[in-house]
Amino acid sequence: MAESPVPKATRLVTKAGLGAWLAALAADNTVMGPVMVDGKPLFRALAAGQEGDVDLESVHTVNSPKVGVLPQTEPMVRYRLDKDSGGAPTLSTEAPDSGPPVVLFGLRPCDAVAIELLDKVFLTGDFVDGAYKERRDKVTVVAVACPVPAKSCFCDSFGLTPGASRGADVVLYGRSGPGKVEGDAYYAVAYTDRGEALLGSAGSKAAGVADLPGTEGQKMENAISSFRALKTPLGDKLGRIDVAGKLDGLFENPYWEKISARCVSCGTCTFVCPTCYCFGVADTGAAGQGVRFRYWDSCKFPQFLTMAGGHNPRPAKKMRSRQRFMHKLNYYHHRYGEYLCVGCGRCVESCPVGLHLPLVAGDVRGL
Amino acid sequence: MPKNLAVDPKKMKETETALRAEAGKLLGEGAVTAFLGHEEGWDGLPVPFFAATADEAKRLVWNPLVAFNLAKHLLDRLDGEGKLGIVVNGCGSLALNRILKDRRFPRERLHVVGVPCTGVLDPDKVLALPDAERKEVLQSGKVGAEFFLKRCGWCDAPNPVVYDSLIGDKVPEEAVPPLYPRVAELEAMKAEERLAYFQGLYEKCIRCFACRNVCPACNCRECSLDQWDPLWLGRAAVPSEQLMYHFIRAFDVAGRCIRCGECERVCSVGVPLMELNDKLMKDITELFGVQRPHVPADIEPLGQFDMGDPDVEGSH
Amino acid sequence: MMSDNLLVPGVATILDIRDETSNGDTKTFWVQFDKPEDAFVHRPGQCAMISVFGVGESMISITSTPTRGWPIELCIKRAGRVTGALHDSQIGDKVGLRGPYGNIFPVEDWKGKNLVFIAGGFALAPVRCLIDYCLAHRDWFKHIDIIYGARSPGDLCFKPDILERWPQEKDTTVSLTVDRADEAGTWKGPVGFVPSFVEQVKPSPKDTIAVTCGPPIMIKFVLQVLPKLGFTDEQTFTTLELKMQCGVGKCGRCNIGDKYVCVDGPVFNLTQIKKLPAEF
Repeated sequence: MAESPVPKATRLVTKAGLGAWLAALAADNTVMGPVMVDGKPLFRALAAGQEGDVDLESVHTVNSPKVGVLPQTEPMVRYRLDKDSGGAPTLSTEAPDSGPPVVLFGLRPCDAVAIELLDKVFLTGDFVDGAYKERRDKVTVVAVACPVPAKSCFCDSFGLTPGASRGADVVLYGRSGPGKVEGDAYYAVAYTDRGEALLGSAGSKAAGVADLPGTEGQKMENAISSFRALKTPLGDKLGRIDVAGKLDGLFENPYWEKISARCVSCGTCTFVCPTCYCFGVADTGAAGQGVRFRYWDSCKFPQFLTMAGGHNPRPAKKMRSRQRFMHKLNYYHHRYGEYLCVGCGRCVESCPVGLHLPLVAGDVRGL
Repeated sequence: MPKNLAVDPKKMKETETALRAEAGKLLGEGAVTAFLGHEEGWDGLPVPFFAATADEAKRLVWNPLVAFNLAKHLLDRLDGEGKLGIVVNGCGSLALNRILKDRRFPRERLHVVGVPCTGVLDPDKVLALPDAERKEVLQSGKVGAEFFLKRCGWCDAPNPVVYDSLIGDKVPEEAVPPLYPRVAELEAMKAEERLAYFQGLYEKCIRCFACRNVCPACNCRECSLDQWDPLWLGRAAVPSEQLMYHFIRAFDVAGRCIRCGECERVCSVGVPLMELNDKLMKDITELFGVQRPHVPADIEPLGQFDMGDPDVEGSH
Repeated sequence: MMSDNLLVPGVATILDIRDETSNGDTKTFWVQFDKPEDAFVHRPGQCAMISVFGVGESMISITSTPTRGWPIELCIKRAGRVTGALHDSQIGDKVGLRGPYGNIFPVEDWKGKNLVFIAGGFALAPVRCLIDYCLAHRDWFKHIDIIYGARSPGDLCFKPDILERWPQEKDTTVSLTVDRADEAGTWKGPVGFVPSFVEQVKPSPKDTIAVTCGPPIMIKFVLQVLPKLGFTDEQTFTTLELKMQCGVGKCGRCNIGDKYVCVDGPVFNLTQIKKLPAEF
């Protein structure tokens, strides 16, 4: 993951002007960003007038921005079963509208990389997921470099940094560089055509997204470098995680039984994780009409693999815990050449029994 | 708030030593095949642990952060004949009794070690403190009331209600008047306002089922909400299904909730799940005259039927 | 196919439904897309997702050979909600259909060899597509052995094929067995489980490919018998089955290790299977 892409455009956005910019973006897009809801930072679509409430202080939201590319519940097709005038059965189907363009605003660099990891699954391989692509092509990613890593962050264990730009169309870097005080403005740097278009749009200009003062070029470079040089305490402690090869031989290891005893088989880790993507497909409806949709499912749920007839290949917790961590640290690596984790730390914050990736990755090294 | 709420780390350390000894003895003698307690997990968080040998018993912990309710994990070991050990404080024993009185685990297969309790701290809050402060709190036990688990604030059962052996002396019990602070506010809302409130509440629910999975009262072999045939709970995370999930669960545990609040504590998005449970508990006290609905009884009010019940035809 | 959205099927009609077993729990459905342009060409081993809207989808191996074209045949056993809904359907009812999915039997690699097909119960369905495909290219292969068994005579599927059509094919032997004969005593053939029956039939491994499909317990024992007869892992093929939702390698459900049954399978040879973790 070499880091030094060439910016396509640079601008300056004042902190005070963020609200106006978001309101301008909201005119043509659904804007999703971090907001405080009853004391918890959540990533969600901003309601009208909520643009000023965007919270860029919390390092990461409890839930992840993957909702913007892979909604928890996504209608695939509307159907209608009926009979024609002759009494013969008919079936008509209709694709639902995938909605307006989306701006994912205020996510962290790790979350932007996570979206690229999802793109690898849905946009490459034998099949291209058309529904995902249609939605994805309308998404603009505006990330914010982290001024201060959280206690649970470990992005550098995967070669990322709090100032990374991979996967982002635009990255906002605090003008005064990292540190608790973010300063009065952000450098808004576009790395893609889509990002450049966003920064240069009439709406953005009118909302106060200004040209970068000529004198600030070097200051901006310094700020960006400082963000990219930031280390995370947990990532520092763990070091680079590179356990894929080791895991090849650990499928039958008794470790999985021991470590999974604490698991409560909920789906918290998989649902807050920005790179987990497993889904199910189900139908809803009554009186012959309804919707077929996909929905987030979790390999941690006991019934995840239960087949018609009752056979369940993963009835034991050890098998499901093993599956999750093998998928993240071995199976995905075999198929796509990198790990299915960006070190965001959400599993560390949310698992009620602390059964999360840093724990397992660290333990696996010692096996 | 109980008057005796306090955390005495030194005393807890002594309890820990005695617990390790007792569990080690039970395991060494083969009296139990495994002992369910806590061990130190990530970053000092006590997590459920089945010690399987006398040596493993040395990993058991008892400290100010032993908040996780263990009893539900017994259901992982339903298969087999072996006896199990388990350590419980007051609320831990309520959870255990819930499982026992729902007849989900045989009492004869258990050796229960009880620990009278004067309070446990919220691990999330303590572990979030800067290192120096955290160390100070865990060593001295000196901490503000807001660091205790919510359930300590209404605890009237500090002594285990079921045990085979006890570590430590019983602590004085206090009658704590059942206060449901938030319920009065909810009851004061108009119906539309209340509906909007609950819809907003559950709208952030991510349907992870952590609340259901840690709840000792939610102990069905197969949760009806997991079933496909019939499909009670649609898999779509839309407002109607969210309400369905939470209302059904609240009604299913009504009368059996032990008011441990674990559901709320493990919820990653912060849904105040106890509000509805408290309301139902208050109703049960008022409608059925049950004084301490959170203490498991042999038969719960909603599990009883009497020919004199007012809704039985001809009873009045 | 029908749309860019991989999960949206095309509309198809059930043209015919035939009972395979005497107890009615297994039926073959003849289906055809309403729009001719939706029709696909499948290869042996591949499956299709058939759905009843309002109930759900089910991944079923295509049992008719592609050389015969459309309508295609799907042999379905009543097992759960979706298969139950299909069984309750009538001729003329509309279903969703999408495919073809999965990898294929590497038939071209088998030219010049003998073929042995070993199947149990309704798992003859995926093998039948392959058998008929090979029979349509008969001179590619030397001798063909079809060894098939079911729990009872009534459970034998595709009776016109196993009793009349295939035995008449050139240089083709059909050997049938049942776990237990019927009470009326009309079954005059061999009685015994498929794995031990295979040992009796004793197909030679020389220049031979073995393909086996059946219930897991049958497969387990057949895969013990074949090496005893001299078959190597490279010569032995089977199909694996897991719960599937998307069928296109996206939903993360049907993996065994890093392989997805819906795109890397369902066809595997024994060398590949031995590399997979034991989790299916």
